Amino acid sequence: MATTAVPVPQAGERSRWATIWEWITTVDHKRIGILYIFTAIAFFVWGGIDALLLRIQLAAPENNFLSPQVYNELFTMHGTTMVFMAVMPLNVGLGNFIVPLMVGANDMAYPRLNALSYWLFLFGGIFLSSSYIIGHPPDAGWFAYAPLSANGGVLPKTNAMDFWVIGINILGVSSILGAVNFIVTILNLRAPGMKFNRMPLFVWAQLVVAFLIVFAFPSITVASILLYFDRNFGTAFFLPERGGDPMLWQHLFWFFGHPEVYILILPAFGIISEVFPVFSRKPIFGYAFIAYSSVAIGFLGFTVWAHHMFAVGMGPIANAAFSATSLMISIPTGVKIFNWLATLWGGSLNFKTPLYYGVAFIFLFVIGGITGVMLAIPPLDYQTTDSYFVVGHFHYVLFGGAIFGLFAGFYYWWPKMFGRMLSERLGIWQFWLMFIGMNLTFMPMHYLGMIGQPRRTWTYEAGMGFEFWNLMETIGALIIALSVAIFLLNVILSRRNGEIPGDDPWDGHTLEWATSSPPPAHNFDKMPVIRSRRPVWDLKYGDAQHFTEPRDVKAAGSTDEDEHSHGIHLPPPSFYPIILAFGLTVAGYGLLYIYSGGVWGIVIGLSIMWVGIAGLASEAARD
Amino acid sequence: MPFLYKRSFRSLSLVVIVALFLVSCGTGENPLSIDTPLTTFATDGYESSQIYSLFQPIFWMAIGVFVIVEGLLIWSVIRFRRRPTDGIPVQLHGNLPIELAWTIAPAILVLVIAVLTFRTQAELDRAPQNPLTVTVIGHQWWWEFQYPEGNVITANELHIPANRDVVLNLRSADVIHSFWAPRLSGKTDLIPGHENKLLIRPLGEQQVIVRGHCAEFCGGTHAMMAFHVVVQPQAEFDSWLAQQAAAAATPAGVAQAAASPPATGATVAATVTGEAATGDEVAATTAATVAATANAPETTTPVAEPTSLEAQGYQLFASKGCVGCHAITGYPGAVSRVGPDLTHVGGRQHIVAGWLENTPENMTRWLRDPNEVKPDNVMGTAIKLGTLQDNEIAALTAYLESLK
Repeated sequence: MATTAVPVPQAGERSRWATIWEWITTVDHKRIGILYIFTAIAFFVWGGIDALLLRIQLAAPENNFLSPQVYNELFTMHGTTMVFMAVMPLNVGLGNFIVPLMVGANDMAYPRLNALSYWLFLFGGIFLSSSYIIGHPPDAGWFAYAPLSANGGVLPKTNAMDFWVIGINILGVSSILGAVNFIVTILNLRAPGMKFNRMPLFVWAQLVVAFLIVFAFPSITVASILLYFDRNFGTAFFLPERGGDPMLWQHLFWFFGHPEVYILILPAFGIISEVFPVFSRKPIFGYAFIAYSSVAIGFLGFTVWAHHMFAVGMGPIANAAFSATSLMISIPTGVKIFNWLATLWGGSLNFKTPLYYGVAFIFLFVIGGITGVMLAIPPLDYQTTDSYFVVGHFHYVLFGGAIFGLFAGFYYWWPKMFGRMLSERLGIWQFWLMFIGMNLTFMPMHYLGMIGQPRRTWTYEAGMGFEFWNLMETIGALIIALSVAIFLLNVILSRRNGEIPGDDPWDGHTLEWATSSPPPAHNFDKMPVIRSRRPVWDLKYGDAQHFTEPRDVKAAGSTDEDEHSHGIHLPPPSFYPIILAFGLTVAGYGLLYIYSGGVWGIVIGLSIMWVGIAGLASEAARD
Repeated sequence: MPFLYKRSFRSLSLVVIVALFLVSCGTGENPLSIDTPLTTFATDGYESSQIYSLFQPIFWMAIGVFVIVEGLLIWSVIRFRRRPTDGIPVQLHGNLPIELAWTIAPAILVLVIAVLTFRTQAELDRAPQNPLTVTVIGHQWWWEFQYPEGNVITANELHIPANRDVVLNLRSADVIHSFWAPRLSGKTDLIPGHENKLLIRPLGEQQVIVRGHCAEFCGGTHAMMAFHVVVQPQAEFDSWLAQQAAAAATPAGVAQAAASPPATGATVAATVTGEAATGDEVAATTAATVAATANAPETTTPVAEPTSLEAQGYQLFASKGCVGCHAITGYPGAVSRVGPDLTHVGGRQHIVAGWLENTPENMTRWLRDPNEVKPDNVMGTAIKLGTLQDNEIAALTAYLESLK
């Protein structure tokens, strides 16, 4: 059995259970991408509700809507959820669907590993979220600074941060496996003619992100496991009273934490680099620079971590060095922005929802970049770090940047993914509400930070000058919530009422527009000849004398024995990735209760994992 | 953009403007004031002035970059909007001279910023001249200030002389904190196992009280870990320091026999060294002290009933177990460093780590139910609503407020 059926089931032919079974066992990168996106949207909404509760608490001074403990849990989970369970998997989900199409591959390099990544993400997310129900949600911040995260200081110790450590590691395994898959796919599965310097910039961005994940995640993995040892096995890696050092945690954390910022934002750079050319009907301006500056940002990203630690007393020399590297990183980033502007310049701008989000991305990201330069200046950082200024700064980067970029990507690729357009009308409404809400929420934070509001504070005293803008920020957050609700409505309505697009509704440039919407399981029936960075543009507007008909993929060297077959080898569905992921998660729960019978949980979890591993291995042998 | 969106955008901005106006009228607050208790736009200290004068050129450069880039963006969006007559635009892939130019221009700007930065950085890291040294110890969630010069320990209210270099030795007793009095200087972290130094030179001729706040998340009620810095002329500071070095006065009417410390309080205080105590130990020892003293009230009952309220409070300070955590110089047995030193608590402007003004009403509120004022605080593990009777609270308040 070497082939699978076309993924879209015929209405009425399959029972609901058969459909669910198909999704559970799928190894199709498109279905896995869709699973990633919808799961991540659910976590995005959850993390957003956390944020709304925080904002309601802060709407008035000395408010008692939340207790300090609940507030600390919510801001920890808001950060952790948005970073690990919303933005990262949204990037992975879009990449999963789009990257193989863009490089002209049939699937990811390791389809079952891809399914395993998804199930680990889902179970890791459920594991962390279950802390709300069966334990204590993590409460020491997403940055988990020791010794607070290790022993709680004078607070009674709970297993809250064990949830965090184990959850982060389950999600980390998922991310690393996914990254390896992206690297191999992009390096090895490009269609003939798709040279490196013809690769779409979204693919470049995903490639750099995958390398960043592979190099940055080991640092947080090691650090968090040491933290688990400190918490449970009596070690003292981060505890000074027995010779450990809290600074070790900060260095290990930010060595991961800063590249993580680029892991979150680079895919958005990639999306913008696809959307701008298509909607201005021009090639990207300065392709080589944009591609290589992503690589440069990736490298430099590993040399700036201690700019998160200017106030820890590293001394003026270390601060100056990390300040210099951080300032340097603004140069390739700034040049990217000029390249995007030059792509718009002289174009014929087709103002549809994706371009609205793209333009807003530039507008907001520039603000986040400017405040980022200010934070890279140690003397200014001494005043602004750990104040609301920083909260404003990184929300301009991660909300104004990553989230706006992702929405540009959703509106752009939705017709390709689902065969339905999202409504333009609702899209524009959503856009303006999000843009206004975003600025109303995060712009005043810069001012509040400069007049001294410390971040991560459950409340603030009346008379500090904080009242008015905190109230405005809460109103802004409610406007953002309304905007997200409109997006969800748009998604639901589009399923039934969405306009049915052709294969190429936006007049696209890259390979994904050369196949049907949604694409068949094997992705391409015909593959355009790739002579440039814009194979589909060439097909439509290319030089007539160099025109070549797209080649029939089926005819290209397959032995077409089965008459229902399209002749392309695709791996069979597999039930084992979910088993393996489930086993690891059970073992995670065992680690949580290590001193109260959790060892049995670990034994059972590892046994289940073994079944999954053996199953995957034997499948491979049969195939 | 359809007319509909334009109109809704306009009405929304109108709502925002009206709300802005109403709130600023209602509270009398200027929503754009840069002169607030915690402002960084300040010149009360040499350090904050240096940082502020670095901020100004950087800010205007930032505005310049913002206007140019966003201006180009908005212009492109308006100018190059697709029109029905549009053909296929010129397919421009790049332009090397332009790309080089806009790589070099930001590089130069960044270089200028770096030079300005390093100049200010050097100024902040200058060698201190004849400094006053104060040791600052961060605790969850209050501040301890030790003056080696005058052998004084105080809490939550840092007095320093104006126009003199002050070196703060920053340490922590538990988790990471950060010392931030933005009107005087930027922040520096207090990290257990490390000693950081922060050099401050307050400016001015008159006494000024500025506010500070912990700026590193330290769990629980980090939000309420504030403090005040009292900047005084050197002479006033000297007399303050001398006054603080004196032992606390014992209220009139306390019988000499009763003034001897209760045994439980003293042993507990001796075992708890404060700095290395973990949370569980603190909670356990405070609870144990209170329980022990409550179970054996006869051992501490004074021979003669104290006459004044202050004297009654003095007795209760030991019998209710306050000595398990709090030190008062001159009070026999009150030597524990778990909680703030109370030797001259009555003379402080604020109580509860800068959160409440020091009035008898606030002291009463705090002693009645610490958790109501400051949830999750350590004192609240020993004292709940009802632990102290109203008359006991009144006596303790009177005593503590008498400790000027």
